[in-house]
Formats: sequence, C-alpha cells, structure tokens
Amino acid sequence: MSPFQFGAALALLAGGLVAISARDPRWIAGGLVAALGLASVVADPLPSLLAVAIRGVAALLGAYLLLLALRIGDERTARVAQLAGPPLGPITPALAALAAALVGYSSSGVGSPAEGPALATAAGLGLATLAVGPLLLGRDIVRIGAGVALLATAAELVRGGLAGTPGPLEQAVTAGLSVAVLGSVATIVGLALRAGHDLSVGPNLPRETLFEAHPLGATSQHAADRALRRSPRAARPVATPRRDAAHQLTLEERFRLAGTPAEGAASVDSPAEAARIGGTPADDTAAEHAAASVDSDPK
Amino acid sequence: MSLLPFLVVSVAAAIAGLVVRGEPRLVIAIGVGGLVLATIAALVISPGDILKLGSGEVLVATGYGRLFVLLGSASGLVLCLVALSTTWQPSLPSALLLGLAGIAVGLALPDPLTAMLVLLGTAAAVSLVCLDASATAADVRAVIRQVRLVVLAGVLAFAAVAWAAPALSGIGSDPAAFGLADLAIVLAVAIRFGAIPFHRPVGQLTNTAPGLAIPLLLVWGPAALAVVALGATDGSVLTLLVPDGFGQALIVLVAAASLFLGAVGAWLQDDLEHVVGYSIVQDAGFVLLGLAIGGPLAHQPARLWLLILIAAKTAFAAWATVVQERFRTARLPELHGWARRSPLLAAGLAGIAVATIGVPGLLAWSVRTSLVQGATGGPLQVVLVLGGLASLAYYGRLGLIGAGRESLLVAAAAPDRPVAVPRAGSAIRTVRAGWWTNRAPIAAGLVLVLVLVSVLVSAGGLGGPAAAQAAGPQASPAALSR
Repeated sequence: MSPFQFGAALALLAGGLVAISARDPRWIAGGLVAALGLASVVADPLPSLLAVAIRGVAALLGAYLLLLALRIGDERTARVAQLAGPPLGPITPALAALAAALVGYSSSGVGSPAEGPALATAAGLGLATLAVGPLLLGRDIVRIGAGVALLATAAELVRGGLAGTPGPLEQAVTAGLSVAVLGSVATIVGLALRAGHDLSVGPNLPRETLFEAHPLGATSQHAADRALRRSPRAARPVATPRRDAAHQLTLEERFRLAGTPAEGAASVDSPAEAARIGGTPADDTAAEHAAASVDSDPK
Repeated sequence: MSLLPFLVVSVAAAIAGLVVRGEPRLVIAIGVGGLVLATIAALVISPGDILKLGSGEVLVATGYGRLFVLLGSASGLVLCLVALSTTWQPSLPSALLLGLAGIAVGLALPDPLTAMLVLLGTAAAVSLVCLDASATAADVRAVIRQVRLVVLAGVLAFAAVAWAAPALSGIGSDPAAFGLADLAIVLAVAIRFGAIPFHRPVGQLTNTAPGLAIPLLLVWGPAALAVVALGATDGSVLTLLVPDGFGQALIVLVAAASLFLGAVGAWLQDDLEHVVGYSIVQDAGFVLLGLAIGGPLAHQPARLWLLILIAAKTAFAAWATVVQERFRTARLPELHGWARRSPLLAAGLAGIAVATIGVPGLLAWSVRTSLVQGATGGPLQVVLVLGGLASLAYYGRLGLIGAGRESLLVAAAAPDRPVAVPRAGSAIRTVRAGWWTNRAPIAAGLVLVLVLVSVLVSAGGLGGPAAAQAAGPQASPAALSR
C-alpha cells in the first residue's frame, strides 16, 4: 500500500462525505468529482494514465451536468437544499464508513482469493456505506443521485479489490457509466425544475381540506405553529367550538380546534379556567360560546 | 464486424432523435427509419463474428444476441407504429434504440463485468423515457426511484460476479462464498424484474411510464441482465452451494411467490397497465427458476423462456395500450364488452395467453415444465406448475369482461371494420388520412403482428432453440473470443 494510494482513498472517502453532507450544490458536485475521479487510482497495478484521465474527465463532466441542471432554478434549488440536509448528519455516516472500511480491509479475500489491493475493498465498502444513507433516506433528487453515483463507484472499487485492476475497456465503460448516471440525474433535475416542481421526493404535505373554502394566512401546520408562538394570547382557548361549524371559524378558533384538549389545558392560567374550557364539543356552554363567537365574527 | 452496422445505426438514430426532439415529424422519421435500419442490420449480424476494439478487447456476435436484438428492433418498430396510431411518445424511439444498442453490446462482451456496466448505464439512461416537459412530481419521483433501483440491482450483480470471478476462472475459492455470490446475482435479477417481494416499483412505474415503454423498462433490460448473469455462471458446473440447499430453496420460494402472488396481483388490478406489470412479475418467476438450476446445459430453457417473455410481454403491453386508446379507459370495470366490439383485439389476447402459457406440445409449455422440473422435485413441481397456470385467472377475467354487455364507453368506440377514405390531393395525404381514419383497426392489426411473433417464438420458430443452445458455454462470447 503506497502512501499515495492511501491518501487517494482517504480523499475519495472525504469527497463522498462532502457529497452526501453538503447543502450547497457546488460542494456536492466537488465531492462527487473527488470520489469518482480518484477511484481509478486505488488499484494495484495502477491503470494507464489515459484510463485515469478518462475517469477524471468523466467525473468532471458528470458533476458539471448536474451543476448545469441545478442552475436552471437557483431560487428553488436553494430552498430544497436547505430542506434536504443529510438525514443522519455528517458524523454518523463518517464513523460508519470508517468502520466499514476497516471491515473491508480486514476481510478482503474472504471466501475468494483477492486479486487486487485490500485498500480498494476498504475504500469501496466505506464509500458504499456513505451512499446507503442518501439512497434509502434521501429526501431530494440530488441527494439520491449522489448516492447512486457513489454506490456505482463503490462497486467498481470493490471489484478492483476482488478481481484486480479493470482493463482499458472496462475503465472506459465505467467512465461512461459515471456520465450516464449523473447525466440522468441532471436530466431529471432539469425536467423537474422546468416543469415547476421542487426536487423533493418525500411524501406530499398534508392538504388542508377542512378550511379550503376560506383560505387563511397560514398554509401549513408549521406556519400555524409559528403564528401561535408569536402571539400566545391569541392562542389562549376560551371554548371548544363545534367541529361541524368549523368552516365558519376564525383563524384563532381554528388553531384551538387543531390542538388537543391537553395542549389547550396546558396553556391556560388556572385549573378553574382549564375546567371551564375543557368541555366536549357537545357541551352546551361551549357550543353557545362558539356560536356567539361565530356570530360576532365580521365576514 | 457484422455487429458494427447495428450499433452505428442504433446509436446514431437515438442521438439524432434526441437532438431533433422539438420537431415531431423529424423525430418520427428518424425514429421509425432508425428502427427499420436497425432491424435490417440485426438480420445481417453473423454469429461468431468478432469486432476488435483495440488493446485486445473484442465484441463477439452470438446467435442468441442476434435473435434478441432482432426481436427487440422488430418489436420496437411495431411499437412505434402502434404509438403513431394511438398516442405518440417523442422519446420512445430513441429510448428503444439506445436500449437495444446497450443490450447488443452487453450480450456481445466476453467479460460479464463490463457487460453488466454497459447494461446498467443504458438502463439508467433509458429510464428517462418516462419524463417529458409535462411530467408531474409523481413522475419525477417514480423515475428517480427507477434509476435508483436499476443501479442497486446492477451494482449488486456486478459485485457478486466480481466476487465469484476467481472461482469462475478456475482459481480455488470457498464454495459457500461462490454460492452466496450466485445467490446475490439471482437476487439482482429478481429486483430488476420486480419479483415478489420487490414488486412495489413495478406498480409505481406502470403508473408513470408510457404503456409502450413498459416492455423496454420491465422486460428487455432485466432479460438482458438475466442473460449476462446466466453467461457469468455458465463456465462453472457448481450449483448453488449455500449450505443445506438454502440458496436454491430461497430462490424457489421467491419464484413460487412471484408465480402465485403475481397472478393474484394481476387478477385484482382494475387498471390494464397494472395488469401488464403484474403479469411480468408473475412470469419472472420462471426466470428465477431457471437461475436456480445448476450447470450450463440446464440454462437453455431459461434462455428460451427469456425470448418468449420478451415477445409475449411486448405484445401484451401493446394490446393494453391499444385497448386503452380505443375505448378511452384503462379501467376494467368500464371495459365490459370490449371483445364484442373488437374481435381482433380478442384474438390478440387469446394469442398472448397461448404464447405465454402454451399448450402441451408447444415449446413454451415444455420450457415451463423443464424449468419447474430442473429447479425442484416431488410435489412442489405440481405446485409450481399450478402457479404458472394461475395466469389463466387474469387472462380469463379480461376475457369474461370482454364477453359481457358493452358499456357506454365501449359502445362509443370505433369498430374493427376499416373505412374507405376519399382520395386526397396527393398520395401522401391520402395515406395519412387513411391511417388517421382507420387507426383503430390498424392498431389492432399491429397488435396481431406482435402476437403472431410471440406465438412463433413460443412455438420454437425463428431459430430460438438453436440460438439458446448455442449460447451455452461452448458458444458464449467468452468462449468464442478465446
């Protein structure tokens, strides 16, 4: 194991970590270039200079395509990038990758005589571990795409460790694969942004159907919670209104209705007041109070 | 060298189709023309011909690869014509040509590792056929998931073959390790085909993908991976050596689950494209049975079954698309009486069922029986044969719905009878007007062409058995290149 190859393995793992952890698309692309471009030199014997150059250029081209697609919608992408941070943070994947690399180094050639360096197997398993997080838990297309590209590179590294240095044709095909995978991801990103979608792949936000007839300022539960925190007095429950009259309620009454009785009780000043407002929707006093509130609500 | 024209035509036409994507007429001309030329180029491929790539690497044309791409390009041409008479998909010809070029290279490469990389890259790129400018957020999600799935399965197979490579090349290795690697290869094929329990993406993809792209995404690509996987293990006489036959039992279990639950899934679905998707899941069970059989000679039925699968499922997907376009609905409860309205499509469905299931004496039947007998023994054989016959349930349901009283949508649809078109100003205009006016019977006729091809293949025509036999270790790309 030469120091150069050890350094290259460390650098490509660091690149992979940056690619799955960074929020800025440029850092993600840079990490991908490091991980994909340096993978060819973690081999024994080293491939030809031409093969190394082709793999490096392919990594650059793939990452550039991704950046190019992301530039179509800067504002939207920036919003998505903020939402879609690493699901496990950078520390946990880094430690897991380190552990996987150690396992790979010590188990290289188990069951089958290894024809390549153990370092390649170690780097491959480490990179695969880094890729698992975004692949399984990634919440946006870019993150999943980075995971896919890293996983393909990890497989090529493991292959180099088990079956020796790939031939020139396989090096060229691997370079083409890098471009194909990152280019596909870039195309998906570009088409999604042009079609007016964000890059999220998570489940859709829950639709507010109960109050669609009277759209209010807050359009999500998060915004509603924020409004509650800003004006706690407005959130103080006075009564529990009837749910069947919900479409006639004001914003404050809607917030009260969304909260559980326990939450409402926790926010009042005294047990007596909690007992007063803790009635069920069928409670006459509460219903009358709600009706009075509705009547006095200026439409 | 005879492989070169096919590759040049396919890649050039695919790229040209993508470049002129904004010009519908050019896309149609280039796409259809490219597929015609590709079919002709596939016909002239000479088995055993070697294409040197420099530095000792070669591409070797095989009879099986030739038949595979010939079936693919001819079926792809008919699919494009079906698209012209139903709903045109601008990216379909390019995707078909690119996919076929990747498959041709993958099946001609002696090194299975390189072949898998080629198939992986083209499968990832071809997944984009589902997207266009009007893609919804759900489409985008489905496509990125498909890319993820393709890469996951491809990488798994790639790493497993690399692990097993020393054993395959004669260097001593632990048999249990080789068995595990073999199991991983089969698992990758199962994931790509959507075999149960990996069937969820199939439903998502059939929701998103154009109906005519389903064969390319769910059958052709996975079948090519299965052929390469078979080729990777052909050189060894080792069976699955995971202790106590656990590996083989696991594969047979997954295959049995796919045979039964795939049929149940297809039977329960009310959407035609979902029925097609789950029928592919079901028939993938036989592919897995083929991979569970040890030894190179036993792989011949698996190779034959893959050819039958390609032809039959392409015809089924085209049939479903034509039915959907003709009757303006893909929901089975709204399709009552479709067979009365269109006897041509009814004959097509019957042909698809015969090509897939076969009848005693037909090659498809004997291939299915051979796969079951090779993979298992005892009463389990009866169970698996019954699992294969479970597809009669959904074909029967489709037929029963078709024989019922015509629904309003079905009654309003065009009949099979062609209509005479008055002569227009020029011959081209007349042909165009005739095509447009009679697109319903034309589409049904095109489906019948695909059905005829699938029946031919399942009857042993087109040289399928000889090609499958020659694709064994004696005539595989690896052996021929030595």
